[in-house]
Amino acid sequence: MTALNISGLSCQYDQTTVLSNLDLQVEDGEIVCLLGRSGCGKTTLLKAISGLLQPSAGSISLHGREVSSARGTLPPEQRSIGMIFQDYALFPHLTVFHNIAFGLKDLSRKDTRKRVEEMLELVNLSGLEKRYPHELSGGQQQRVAIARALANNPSLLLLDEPFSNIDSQVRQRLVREIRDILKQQKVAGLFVTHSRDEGFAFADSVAVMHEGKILQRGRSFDVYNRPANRFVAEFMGSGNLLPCEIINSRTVSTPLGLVESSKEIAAKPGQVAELFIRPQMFSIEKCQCENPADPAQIKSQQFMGTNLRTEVKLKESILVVENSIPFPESTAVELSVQPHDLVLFDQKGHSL
Amino acid sequence: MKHVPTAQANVHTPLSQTESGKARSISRQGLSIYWRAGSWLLALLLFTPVLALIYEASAPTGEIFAHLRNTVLGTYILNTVLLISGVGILGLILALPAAWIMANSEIPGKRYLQWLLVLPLAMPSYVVAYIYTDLLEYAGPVQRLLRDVTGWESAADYYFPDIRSLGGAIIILALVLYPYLYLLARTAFMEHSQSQILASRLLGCSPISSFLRVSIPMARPAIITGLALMGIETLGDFATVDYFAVPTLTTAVYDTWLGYGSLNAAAKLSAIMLVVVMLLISMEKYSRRRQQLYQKNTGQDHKKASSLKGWKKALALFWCWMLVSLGFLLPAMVLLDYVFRYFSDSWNIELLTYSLNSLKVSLGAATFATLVALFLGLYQRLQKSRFSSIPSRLVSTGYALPGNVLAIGVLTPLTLSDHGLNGIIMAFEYPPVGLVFSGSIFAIIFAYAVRFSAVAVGSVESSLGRVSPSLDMASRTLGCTPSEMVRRVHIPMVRKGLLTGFLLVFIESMKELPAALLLRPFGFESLATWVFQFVSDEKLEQAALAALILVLAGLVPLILLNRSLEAEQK
Repeated sequence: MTALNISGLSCQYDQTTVLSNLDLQVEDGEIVCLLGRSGCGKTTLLKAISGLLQPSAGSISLHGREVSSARGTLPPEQRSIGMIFQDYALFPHLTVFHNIAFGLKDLSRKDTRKRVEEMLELVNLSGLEKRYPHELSGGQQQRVAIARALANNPSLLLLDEPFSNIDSQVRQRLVREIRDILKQQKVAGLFVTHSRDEGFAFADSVAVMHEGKILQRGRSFDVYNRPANRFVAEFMGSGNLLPCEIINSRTVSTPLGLVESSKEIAAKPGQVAELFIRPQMFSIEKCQCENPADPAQIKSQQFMGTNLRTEVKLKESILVVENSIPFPESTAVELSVQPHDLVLFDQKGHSL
Repeated sequence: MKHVPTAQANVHTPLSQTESGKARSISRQGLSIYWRAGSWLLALLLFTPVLALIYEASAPTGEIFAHLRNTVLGTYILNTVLLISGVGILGLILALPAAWIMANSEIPGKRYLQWLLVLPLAMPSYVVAYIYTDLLEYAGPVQRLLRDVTGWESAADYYFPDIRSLGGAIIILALVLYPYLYLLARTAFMEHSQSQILASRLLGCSPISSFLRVSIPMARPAIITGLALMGIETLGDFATVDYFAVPTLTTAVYDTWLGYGSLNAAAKLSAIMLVVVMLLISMEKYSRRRQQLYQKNTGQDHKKASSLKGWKKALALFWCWMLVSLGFLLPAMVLLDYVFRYFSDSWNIELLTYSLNSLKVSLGAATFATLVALFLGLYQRLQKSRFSSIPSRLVSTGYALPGNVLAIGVLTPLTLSDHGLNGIIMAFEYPPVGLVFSGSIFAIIFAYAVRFSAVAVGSVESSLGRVSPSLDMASRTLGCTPSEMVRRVHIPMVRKGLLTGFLLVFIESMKELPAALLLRPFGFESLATWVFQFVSDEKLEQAALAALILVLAGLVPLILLNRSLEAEQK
């Protein structure tokens, strides 16, 4: 079943349109990451879903029940949505126990205690129930927030940049931990962030958002490798744009020479396009010939932890390449492209 | 706290509501009509004295005001402006170093000093003025000692500044009012994170230039608020300038009304004062226009105070102890001396009666003002529309009114109500009930609520402002209706703000004098009016015990206030 179904949603603040005709589905138990730069409308979308904002058009349904439309909105407290905030939003005047128990209403005292203890165990904070939020580390506070949001069995969990205040060493572990918790509890999650890496690590699929619209939605692997347009391609990770001409359905001609595609190219021969190549799709070899007419040269290299980030000068342009072999500066090299599904854009930046 | 109003949730069934067009936030629709209407009615009720004044002031100019304008009005205005700026400047000089020392350095006795520094606030300015006059006048111990040591024989032999002057009034008021600035600035200095100071130091600032370039600008909104408070208090001061015979707008209002019986002229003069106050308030608002700080990452960033050594330590100690001594210890000791020497004169049944009167009135006013502040503060937060801050602003204007001006503003509508009530009752052929509003302590309590609600409103507003908006979203998504959110999140979180507001209103009401002088029912004395009577008659010694009670009553809340501030520090 669909946990969240948004169709044709538009929202306005004062006179400006923040969301326009937006569609998004989240299936039961699925974690979707909403990726976008700040100001793209992510937070507005979360507000609309949680019921703090009424849309001007379109509708939002939770498990098949319409909760928001231009005609009216169900107040947040009746939606059974959990929410996790960037600043954790724990109640500073309540202990960890009472924070988690905050949303538990119709339970007896004994059941409340039991439920809170379950949740504490789930987030690995057993024994800390008497602490106040300010006595916890950032990561612990965020785990309390998770426990609080999940205590009431929400049908959907919204996460608004939940990891951005947490230092990077703890972050990776926390991202995995919380993902495991959501998966274990089978909660559908909508996770908002501007960080690709968090999105990849946390979500089953991503939706790239820009200027109030969703540009592409899919498994992160697919969105990364088959971006719908240039914005998505560049947002998902760095790459190189090379002018090219289509030779036939499998080959394009580029300044690097002919490049093969492993899938058929949907364009006529002779058409001019742009080829988008990720840094890791190149191979570099030391140039064998004595005096190459137009050599590619190593401009600089930087070790990034796993691989080297190598800048290669090719005629007037600089290409960014990822490889594992160090070269001295100015080495003449031969660049080739590993065969893969080529990503080609037309003049307007749309994928071919 | 039992009668705290709660918001009514507006139930939205998505399909029944015909709402079209723009996006709206739920909270905008969330408050019930009762709350919304109640907020505006309450605001208007507390605003009626101001309306009454404006009405009186806009009446045609009478002879007396025309006469004043042609003769002494210029002097009054000049004196008022000089007094306010003088107290402000001296207050800055006195309070900022002390606030900085208390926030950032470790000196012996700091634990005591940081609350001792607040104590002058408990001192009625006219008592301090009386005591310093007693000490410094020609026949006082200081000049006597001077003559004994030097051999001078009469006033003609040497120059000694006259304490009963504008300069004297500035010094006395600054000594008593500086804690407003000290408290606000100290809190602001303490809130700055160590990393900001460190950053400026690493960028090449000396401690002094770091103070001037980083700390002061960051604390500027707080400093200006403190200055505005001091300015308003100074403007409202009647007793000190009256005792020192410095004619200001405030004394002029009093004289024109009591002396000439001209409500018209008094109202016109107070309209001028209102302009001064509006300037002070807009200065405060302007300084805060871009300030939006929410509590974040509490507890992580504890800063360590550096301990001072050598001459720096000596200077810091001297400065703080000087303030405490001049503003509190010295006058308190003299007062205690009076109490011991004249105990039998001042220990009597009147004392008990008048103490209870003051307590009654102050508790009533503080309770009323706190409830108003909570009601309106929540209205402003939950009703996010362009106009929702107006009720709080309306209520806050009462603080602008000097007590005696307020008295006129309060009497007009209350007298009308009394006439109306008696008219109705007599229409049903019952005996008239008399002046139940204007002739009872209700008038004083109402006047105090009008005057001091601003203090409570400010206190509640600022603590509500520190509640991050994401807490609202969190509690709503966790299943709270707006009213539950108010009860379970907002009220517990602003409890400290409520307490602070309550205590501040209580102190103010205990010490309030001019409104009480004019509004008290026949035969009713509050401690303050009683003490002032003795000050005017140059025999404070005989009411020393009452004055001491006034001081002690003001002390208790200050100590509590400091406790809660200290707890917040930890």
